[in-house]
Amino acid sequence: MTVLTSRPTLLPPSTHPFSEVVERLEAGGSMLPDTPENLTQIIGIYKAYAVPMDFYWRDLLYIAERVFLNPLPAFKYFPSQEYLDLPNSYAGESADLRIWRGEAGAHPELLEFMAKGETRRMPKLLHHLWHDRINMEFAEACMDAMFWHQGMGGRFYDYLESDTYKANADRAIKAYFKGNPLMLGLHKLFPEMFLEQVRKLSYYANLGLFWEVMAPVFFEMSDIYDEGGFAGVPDAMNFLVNGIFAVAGRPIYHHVYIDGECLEIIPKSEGFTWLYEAALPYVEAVFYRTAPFRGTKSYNAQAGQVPDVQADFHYGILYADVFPVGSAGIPPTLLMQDMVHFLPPYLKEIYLKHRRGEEDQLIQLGITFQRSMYNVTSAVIQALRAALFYPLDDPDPEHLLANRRFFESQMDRFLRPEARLRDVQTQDYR
Amino acid sequence: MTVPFFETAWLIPLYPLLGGLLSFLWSPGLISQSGPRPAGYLNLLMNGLAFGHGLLAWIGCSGRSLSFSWTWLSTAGLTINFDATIDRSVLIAMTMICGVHLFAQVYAIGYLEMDWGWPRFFGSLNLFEAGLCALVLTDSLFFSYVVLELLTLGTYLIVGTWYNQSLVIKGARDAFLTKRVGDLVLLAGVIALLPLAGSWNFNDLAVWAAQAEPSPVLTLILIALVAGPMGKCAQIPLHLWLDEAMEGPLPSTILRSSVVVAGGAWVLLRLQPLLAISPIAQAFLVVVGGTTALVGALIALAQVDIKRALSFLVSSWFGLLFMAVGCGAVDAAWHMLLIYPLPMALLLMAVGTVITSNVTQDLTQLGGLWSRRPLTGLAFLVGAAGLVALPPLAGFGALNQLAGSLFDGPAPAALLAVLLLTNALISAGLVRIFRRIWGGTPSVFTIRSAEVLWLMVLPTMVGAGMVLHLPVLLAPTEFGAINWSPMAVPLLASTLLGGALTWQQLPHPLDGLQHWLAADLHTETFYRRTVVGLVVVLAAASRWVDRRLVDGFSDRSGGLTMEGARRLSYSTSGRVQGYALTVLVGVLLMGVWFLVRQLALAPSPLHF
Amino acid sequence: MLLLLLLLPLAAALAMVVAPAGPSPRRLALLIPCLQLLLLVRMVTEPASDLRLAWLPQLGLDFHLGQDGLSLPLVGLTSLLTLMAVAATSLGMPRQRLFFSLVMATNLGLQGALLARNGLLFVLAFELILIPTTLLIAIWGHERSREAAIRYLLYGAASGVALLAAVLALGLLNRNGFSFAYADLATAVLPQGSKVWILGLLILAFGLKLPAVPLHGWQPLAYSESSSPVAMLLAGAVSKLGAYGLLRFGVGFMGDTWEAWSPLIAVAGTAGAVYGALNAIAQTDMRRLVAYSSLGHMGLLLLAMAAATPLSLQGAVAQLLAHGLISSLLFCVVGLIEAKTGTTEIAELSGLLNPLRGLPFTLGIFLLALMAAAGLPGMVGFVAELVVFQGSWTMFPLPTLGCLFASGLTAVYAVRLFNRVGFGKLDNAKAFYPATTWSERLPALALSTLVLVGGLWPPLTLGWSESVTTSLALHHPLIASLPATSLLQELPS
Repeated sequence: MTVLTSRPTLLPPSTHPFSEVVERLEAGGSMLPDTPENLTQIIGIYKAYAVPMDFYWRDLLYIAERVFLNPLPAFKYFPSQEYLDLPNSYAGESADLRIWRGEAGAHPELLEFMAKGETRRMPKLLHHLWHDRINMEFAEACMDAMFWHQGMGGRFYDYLESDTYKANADRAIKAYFKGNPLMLGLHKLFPEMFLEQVRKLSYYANLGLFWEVMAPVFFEMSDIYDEGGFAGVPDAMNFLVNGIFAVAGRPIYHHVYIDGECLEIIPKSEGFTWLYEAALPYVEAVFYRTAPFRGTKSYNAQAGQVPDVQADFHYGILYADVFPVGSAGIPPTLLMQDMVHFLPPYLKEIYLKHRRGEEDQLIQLGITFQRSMYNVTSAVIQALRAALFYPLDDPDPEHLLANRRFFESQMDRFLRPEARLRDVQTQDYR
Repeated sequence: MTVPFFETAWLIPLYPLLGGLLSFLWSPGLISQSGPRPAGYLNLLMNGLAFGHGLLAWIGCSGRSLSFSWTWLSTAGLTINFDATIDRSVLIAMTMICGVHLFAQVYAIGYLEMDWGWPRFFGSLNLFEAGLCALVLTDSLFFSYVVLELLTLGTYLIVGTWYNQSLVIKGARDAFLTKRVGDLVLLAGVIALLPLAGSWNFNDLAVWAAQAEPSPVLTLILIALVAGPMGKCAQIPLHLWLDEAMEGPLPSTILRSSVVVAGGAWVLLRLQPLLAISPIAQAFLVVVGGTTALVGALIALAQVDIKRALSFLVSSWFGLLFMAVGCGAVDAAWHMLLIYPLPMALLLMAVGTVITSNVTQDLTQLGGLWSRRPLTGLAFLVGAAGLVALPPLAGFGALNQLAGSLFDGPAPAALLAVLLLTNALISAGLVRIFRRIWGGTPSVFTIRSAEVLWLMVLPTMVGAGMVLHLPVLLAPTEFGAINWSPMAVPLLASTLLGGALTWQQLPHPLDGLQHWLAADLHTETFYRRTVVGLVVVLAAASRWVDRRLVDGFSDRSGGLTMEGARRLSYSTSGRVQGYALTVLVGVLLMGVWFLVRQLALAPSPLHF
Repeated sequence: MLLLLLLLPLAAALAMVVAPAGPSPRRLALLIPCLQLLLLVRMVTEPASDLRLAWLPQLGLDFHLGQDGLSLPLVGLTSLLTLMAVAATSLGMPRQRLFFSLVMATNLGLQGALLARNGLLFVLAFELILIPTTLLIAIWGHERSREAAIRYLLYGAASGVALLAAVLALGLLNRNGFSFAYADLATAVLPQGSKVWILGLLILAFGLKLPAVPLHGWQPLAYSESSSPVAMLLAGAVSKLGAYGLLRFGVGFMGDTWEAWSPLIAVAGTAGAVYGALNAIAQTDMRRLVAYSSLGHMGLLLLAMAAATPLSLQGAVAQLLAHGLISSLLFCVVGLIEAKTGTTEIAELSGLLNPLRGLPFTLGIFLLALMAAAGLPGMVGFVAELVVFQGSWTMFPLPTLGCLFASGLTAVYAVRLFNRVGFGKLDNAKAFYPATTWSERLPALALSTLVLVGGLWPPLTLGWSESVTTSLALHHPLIASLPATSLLQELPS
């Protein structure tokens, strides 16, 4: 994808309130302004995000495939060594498509953190109880958002209501509870109950497979940046766009391993692709929508603070107010705490120099994270444009106008006051 | 082996207190590299210890009773002692408090898994528990007041857990102020009672009350004493705070609605011998209780928010309890108090699992969950059945006993009508909630709804089991036998009728008043226009007075003085002779004064 | 011993003024109160005997110092609050020498007045405080400090003149002979007609100092415009002198006249308590709110002194100590908030509890202080209020109810203030406040610890003065009107 150095002169200036951003997108850039500090910040936070993400996807698959319907899954956050060693399909020697030059197993920084944490070497259980661990609950919250929201495109959502799926799931449930009369009896009485649980587990698998791709992408971006391979924010964005296209067709599936046997609840042959069934729903559900934070919005039915329509939900990272992070009732705090353990030194330096330095790192890195996610969203928008509309250097003004209308319709979603698009345009937003 | 547990049962409030204080270690800036969850685990552990100790003490109690006293303040004739008694009923109460807390805290670990505010929340929960255990231990009216006041502060802190949210801070403030008003009136009563009764010990007061004569002052004092429990149990007109306190996290709602209000009722029951002195005070209780029972249930039926639909039922149920105390049906009231906490906690736990997974508290947005969430639905039904008069569950025994006492008491027709109607309405309210959430067809918000984390489901299921077994547990006690009173069948009928009516989704009985009821009788507006308005007007008036009159006077007098000083300074001519003359005159005057004084001191027929 | 207590601040004040170089004045100012507290500990275990030196016998002025159960805790409070006020000053304050020498002079005057056993000596010490405090308000205060200082000076001067006149009258009109010694003043026989106006002058003088509504015109401005260490000293220590004077001179020396006028005094106290609380509710500035809160609490003192039972006087002493601690804690915290956020306007602050970018520690202490002011159990304010109410109830039930109502109003503004300033969301656009350091937090921490300890252990405020209050008391009602059960003791009347 080319990056144009000047604005195409075929069109008059945009009249949208975010005209500057629209024109930057038309020139092949990102919603985030192209400054050196922005680049440093977003690459640093991608790396800090990718390490916990490595844990998330492995544990998500572990839960979806092994823990399955365990009624008291007290140890679901302790993935087995097999899953820690599970080769990432996009990294290492054995990869189908090697995006990251590093190894296929769990990232060494992750392993070190799991062993030592911020305190010292302790058995895993003690680390867990002392809360010196990766906050897997956040990953599950992302999964819940994808599970609960409707109308995000793709066939996955509706497939889970189909008869084939129900039959597969039924078989898996019966196999899992073989020899357990209580559970089997419950299943007979209330067939939908366990079925709904299996649907949820299918989304675990979905999200796990999604993040399996994103982690090596971010690792590679960090490595390229360390080598000086990125000239600016648009470069980083383009890497993401290329990555999206490269992996778009990756199959999404849900296999369960019961007593050594592999049961396919969603076989690969159903043809669910990564882009349409995982990435786009994820962006919609987690970046745009999620659910209102208990800490800032009241769920009181008479107060009417929560919208009636799911599509109106605007509580994702793109709209979030990061400043309350650290106080009660703000779920992204868990992710921020995860990222604080893996910050690269150059990013730490930036934080030490501003605001309260080390004391309010969580907020500072939260805002950096917000910037980086605007960048990812820009990549998704550019990818969609490339797939559904026209190239940026198309000579036909009609085509360019179609592009512009697409960009403007995307920017319309950021017109509401809670959107942080305006804030990320300035460097002073920390 | 269990004997030492009984003797040391006074330690039970101290475990959760220690846990709550240790939570301070996770204050901002102290332990921050790792997360705050250990604060919750620690508090849970302390709670478990307290529960275990209580259980073992109860088992080893074997009908004994232990009293002790510790002097807290002694000055100028006022001696305030922390009197305490440990006996079986106290141990049952403490075990129940710790048990419900245990459920709620395990539940909270699941419910709040995405929350970072654990130290404050769990610490406050444990402080609540310590306070409640101390409340049931103590024999002193004064210390009951102290604990109630501390619980008021605790409510403010706990409802304010999510303080970034505007409705939360409003709710916390209103809860604090309403309960504080109730507590201050209670304090006035407590202070006024001492010169009359000579003691604050409940046992001494009961002895005194047996031969005390009613008088207008005493009646006022007794009504004042009732104000504290009225505030705690959210009786009209102090009921608004329970609605607003629903903004706090659900686990705190579980505790507040089940054991904290029970604490208020506990105090009321211990005051009952005093209240029996004055028929007016008793009538007051009956009127307040009966009104709240009916109106509360009607409001609950009109609510759209799940938590509020349940919270007004709390007010309603305790209205019945107030009525019982007012009529002197003390045994029935104790029975009701005993069987209340578990079913209400269960109801809230079941509803909470739905709220977390479906991102809404609005009854109109839910529905059709039975097929996917049957377990929690069953738990809700069990909880509902445990609360209304449905044999063989425990609620029936209590209400039946109450009906029997009312039948033999004064004004049986009116009071029994209130009881039956309230029972029907409570049943209607609960069935309505069930139908809206679990019945019907799935809505957009409920199409995807899987059973939630085991940490939430497990306490719910265990709770359901306990509620089902309550009659069995109560069998060896004096509340075990069911004496089929003549009102038993009408009672059962009212339950079934109320449930059936809402099952059919008939409109609200007072449909025209739906809005008025849904807005909680516009109590808030009423408060704002009267009480709050009065205070605001008075405050503004005082401010005006201070600005205009006092400040003005000071300004003017200051101005005058400065003027005077300036004028005087004109007299500073700078000429030495002028100064010398002034000095001379001054010395002369002083000399005259001395002379006169000497004369005055000398023995002289002159007198001043 | 007693002389040493006074020599220490005198020497320090002189040293700071005279010696140009030497130890940092702040360090010296921190040391002196610590030494005074050590002396105090000694005085508690081993009561010092009176010190009586003739000074100007013709005028009846003896340098007569003595300690008893009423003076001792107030001396301790003064030393403690001087220490806290000095610790709360910022290191970069201008004109430190002058400031600390003035503080030492104030301390000298306060201790002298509290320990004096001679009427004229008391007046002397009383007047001594006026100028240093005026300068402290004027030079280091906020925008309107000069106006506040002038007003304070005028009211203070009027108070001093009234006091001088009253004391002179007490001494001169005494038929037993001309003497200003306390022992003689207490047993003075005065002409009947003069008693009323002497008491009136005394009430005027001390009421202006307390202050009592409606003589409070100087107080809100003075407390809110002075810098927070000065406010701590003023509200915590200097105002106590008014109450001490009323107890000693009014209740102690003019007992029967006081008793005759006590209903009026009780009503005035109640009115003051309600008025102060109502005004506090209407305030938009934190400093002013705390000033009016202080005014309201003084009303309780008047009620307790009006009732004049042993219990209510114990309550008055407890309220003196409690209010001293709580008021100065409130001013200390408000000063800290102002130093970090730059404002005390309530409308401009919110969400300061934010753990990462707010002032969580400071606000936590603020909550404690506000709840203590509201009289919540567990803190020293409750102990004092309880004893005041219980002691005054038998004498003046309706005014006691009025003060309970005022206590309810206190809860209103306390929780509203904390709601607005502590709870809520931190304003993103302005949320760039520096954090507090441990050395800044120390005075607030120390005071709040004492507030908690006092609430849990009543002898901290009640254990000093029981014998004195019993002897000062004018009524000795039975707490119980019936033959009490074992828990109450009957009082010897």
